[in-house]
Amino acid sequence: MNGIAAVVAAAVAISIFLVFLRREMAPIGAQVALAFVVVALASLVGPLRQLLDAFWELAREAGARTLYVSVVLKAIGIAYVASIGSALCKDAGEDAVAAVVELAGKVSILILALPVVAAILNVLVQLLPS
Amino acid sequence: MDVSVIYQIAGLGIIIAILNIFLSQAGRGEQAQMLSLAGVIIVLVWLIRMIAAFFNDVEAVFQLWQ
Repeated sequence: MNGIAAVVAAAVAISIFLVFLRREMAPIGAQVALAFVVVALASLVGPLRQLLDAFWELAREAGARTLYVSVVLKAIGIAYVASIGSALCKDAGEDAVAAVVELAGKVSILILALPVVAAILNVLVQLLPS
Repeated sequence: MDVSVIYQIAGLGIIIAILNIFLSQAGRGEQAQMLSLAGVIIVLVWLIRMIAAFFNDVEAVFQLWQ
């Protein structure tokens, strides 16, 4: 509760500062926005860790293969980092760089998911009557 | 990481913006540009450390190193 109050208060104060900073000092305005994003997300890392621990526990009790669970979690992590990066680049007015960041995220998630896709194809091939 | 870092960066930005206005009013546009460049670089060095710490945390949480 304390954490969310601090983050929301900082967001409102920073928005008002940014009205001035973006006009007079655009690069530092973008940097202040970046600092806010990093601090706010860093305060979310602790709860996220608890959430993921609970998820792991559920998966273990359900008897899911750890390979597949870890693929899902890593994909979520890559999406998290890539979406933050692309949003920050868009914020600074660089849409081309943001598109590259998003593409890099998609490619690394696809590479991560490759073993799962291969496993599905293997199962399909085994199911087919030869 | 603390919320006060954001306010420190915003305060630095406002001080540099005001000094910039003074310097360019006094006809020293070159020094004003140097000042703003220095401010941007100082904040950038500050931010890069924060971002590195944050990405390390995210990697630890999602176990991206495996």
